Amino acid sequence: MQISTFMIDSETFGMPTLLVEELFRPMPVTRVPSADRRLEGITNIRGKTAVVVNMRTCLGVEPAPKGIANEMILMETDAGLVQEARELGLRAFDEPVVLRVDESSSIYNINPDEIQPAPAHVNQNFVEGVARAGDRYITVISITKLINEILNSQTEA
Amino acid sequence: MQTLEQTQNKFSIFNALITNDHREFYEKITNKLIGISPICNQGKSTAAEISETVTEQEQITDLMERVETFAAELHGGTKNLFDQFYQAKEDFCRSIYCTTAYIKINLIDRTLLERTCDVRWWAMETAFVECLERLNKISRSLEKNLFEANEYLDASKTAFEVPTLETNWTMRDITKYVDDVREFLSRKLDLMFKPSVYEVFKGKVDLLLEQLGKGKNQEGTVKIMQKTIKNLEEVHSQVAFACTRLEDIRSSYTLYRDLVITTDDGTIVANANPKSRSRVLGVNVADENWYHAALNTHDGNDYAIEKVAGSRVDSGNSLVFSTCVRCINSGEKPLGTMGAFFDLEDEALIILEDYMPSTDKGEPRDGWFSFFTDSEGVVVGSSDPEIIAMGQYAHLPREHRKLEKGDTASSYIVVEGHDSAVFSANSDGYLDFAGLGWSSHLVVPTSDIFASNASYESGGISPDELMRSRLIPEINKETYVKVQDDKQSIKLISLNGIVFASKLGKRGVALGPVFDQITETGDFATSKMEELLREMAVGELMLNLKTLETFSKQAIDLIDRNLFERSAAIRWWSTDQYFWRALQEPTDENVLAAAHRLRDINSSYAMYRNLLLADRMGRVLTASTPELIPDVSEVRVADHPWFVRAMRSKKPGDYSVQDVGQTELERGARRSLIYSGAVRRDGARSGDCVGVLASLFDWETESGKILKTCLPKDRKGKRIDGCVAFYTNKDMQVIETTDANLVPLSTVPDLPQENQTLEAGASTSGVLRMGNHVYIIGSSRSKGYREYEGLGWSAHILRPLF
Repeated sequence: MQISTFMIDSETFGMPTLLVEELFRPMPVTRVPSADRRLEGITNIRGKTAVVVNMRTCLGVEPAPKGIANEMILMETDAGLVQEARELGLRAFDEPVVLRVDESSSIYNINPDEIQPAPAHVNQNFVEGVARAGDRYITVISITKLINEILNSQTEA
Repeated sequence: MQTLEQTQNKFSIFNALITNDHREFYEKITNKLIGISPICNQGKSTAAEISETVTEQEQITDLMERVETFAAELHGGTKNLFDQFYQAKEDFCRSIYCTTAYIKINLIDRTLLERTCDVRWWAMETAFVECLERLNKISRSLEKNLFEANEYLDASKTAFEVPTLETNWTMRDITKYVDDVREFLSRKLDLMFKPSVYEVFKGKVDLLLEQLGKGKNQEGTVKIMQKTIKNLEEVHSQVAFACTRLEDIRSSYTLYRDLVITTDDGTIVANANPKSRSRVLGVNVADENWYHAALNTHDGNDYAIEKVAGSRVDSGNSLVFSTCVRCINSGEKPLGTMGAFFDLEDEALIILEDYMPSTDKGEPRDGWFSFFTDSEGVVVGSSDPEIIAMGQYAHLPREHRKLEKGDTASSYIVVEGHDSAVFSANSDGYLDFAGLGWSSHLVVPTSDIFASNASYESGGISPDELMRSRLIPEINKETYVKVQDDKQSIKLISLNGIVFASKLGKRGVALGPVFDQITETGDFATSKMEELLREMAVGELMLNLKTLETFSKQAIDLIDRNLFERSAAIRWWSTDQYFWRALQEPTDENVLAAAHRLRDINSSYAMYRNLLLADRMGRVLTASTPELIPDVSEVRVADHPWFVRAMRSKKPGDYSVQDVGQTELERGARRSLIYSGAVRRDGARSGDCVGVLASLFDWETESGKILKTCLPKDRKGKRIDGCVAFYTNKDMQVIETTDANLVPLSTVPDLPQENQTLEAGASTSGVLRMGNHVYIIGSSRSKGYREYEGLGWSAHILRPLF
């Protein structure tokens, strides 16, 4: 399975490439009032309105210093998933979602069996496990869980 | 030497200036980027094979074309980067080496200005004026004496026909002795200036007079001979006095090969160099240019400068400063001239060898030359006379030979078979000294200009930090941003390509290697370019550090040279007759005369705040500034360091200096640098000390002026914001600063260890962090100048990075 990776505060995170639609440079974001700092606002990408999720905030990392480059990742919608993804049991969110990351870095081929469960102290439940690619460790996350979590906390609030 | 064309500013791999490292660098990037095109073609054909729809194929083809565009842009970018790289180095070196050439000619101008003041001041010295007045008078009466003596002696021979009882001389003896003495009468100059000749003459005259005295009617002869002897003795005492004064000058100011005084007919009557005295005195220089130039000066403010090779006074290369010695009362009438033979060769060599990189043995590095040419283009000073010969036309490009006042020029030339660059700067004079139209030239091997700085490690600042700093020209910063932008673009294209291919499932597998290749190439090319940009940044840093070292060295050199003049002056003035007279006999009249003398000195030199004369008990007798006399008279100076040290000094020409600080002698918070010299009984060179002469140097004004001239300027000659220049004393305490907020007076700034522990004459530079600010700093420590040892001070220049 191909894993697309991105960097947050010098750590590598990954998700199945089949869930990614496109990587691009940062676009202007329209802020929306929200109690949840993880939701940055909305942006317009290829005529579609997408929710922008700030991965730094999600992972509890300090906001990036001003002037440091960052990138965006547009996720596939559930409807846009290719057959192969469905066969693998991957699920996506219904609406377009954009992740703001420090940098998208690379794409690796990883055997799904090699993804280890996350260490016990990791309490974010969107973390699926840890995989190794060469000399680096990739924290594999589930975007669907992450988004659901955010939306749930929204409704609770 | 032959001239080469100016370098072309466009990068070419065949340009000889390009270093091997960079050639390899460029080839690697080029090969990689050229490899992109086949990869993209492969991608396009793979797309055609695997695509199921036209849209799919178009998407891939579009990606490939975008990659190709970026690759081509990167290729062009690499070339531009090298252009910038070499141009930046060229520009920077032009600025730094033209500045260095200028500093050298400026040092000469400053020295020469001091020399013009010297000769004018000395020519007004009462001792010389009186001496010439006396000599001119005696010389004329001597002329008459000798003529008369001749007649009288003739008469004596005949009158002395019959030997008296008292003498056992025969007629023959008399004739012989008279003839002997008469022979000397035609040798007036020898009698005046050759003590050995005079001694023989005097012996003969004594003998003759003893015998003549016994004869009849010889009174006339005896009288005229006695008068002649008396006049000659006075000549000798006047000459000896003038010579002693000139010697005092020369031992105080060690820059002169000799100093001479001539009468108005060009006869040298006194000189300063005892070694050549017997040869020089009595010699007539009426046919020498400097003498004529001196006679033609208009008044006491006028002077002449002549470049002289092989005068009768001195066979070496000198620059002769000369002026008329005039009557004190009827100021216009020339009594004679004074010529000061400045040791140009020696002085030029000190300056020329400075500011040059040296080998372990302390010799200038091969391929580096520094020389001065006069307005005709003839070499007048050379750091290596075997290669750049003195007195010959310098083989320089036309532009360098025709420099106008204050102009600079730079060209590539070949010197001794080495590709070199020559940087030239023409003199623009200094203050009211217009300069002599000379130029200073610096030859630097081309390989040293374009040497790689890749070996420079950290130095307390990271390359990224450096890249953002104010040192880096905007264009480089823009390129840096552009390269990073391109890097990101290529990465995103290729990652999106892989994302796209992965959606094609098995069909997309064939595209995988294509995108991997693109990613790798993009990374390689962009990271290489970043490397080059960092090398540029480091190169820029190194050159900036070097500039700061140059400016700090200039700052310490200028103050050392200025203070050398002050130390020379105090040594000379403390022998002045007005001062020892007033101290030995402090009558109102004598003290007033001393006060006038101090005032004259102070009005001729702008850099003193006050001069004062203290007696041996430490009481201030008088001062140059009348309104300050009541104040300073109150002060007992017996325990002041400048006084104690001067009183203790033993050797002739000793002086002492009290480091910058506050003193009771000055009001307010003014800080003084005090020079002092012992005044000895009867102006003798050693022996009983009757008091001390002190000069209070206007430290803040003079040092502040120098520091300001040494603040770094940008390539357009505009002063760079936020720079600070300051001096520290031997305890690293700040004694003067251009920015008292940032580097306050009297504090000890927290400088890097290397900048604090410099050897005398050494320079260093580095990065300095002060609070939230980052600076680069260049420091140089004093090595003194000639007899002036310096006070262990250092000069420092700071330039902000952010």
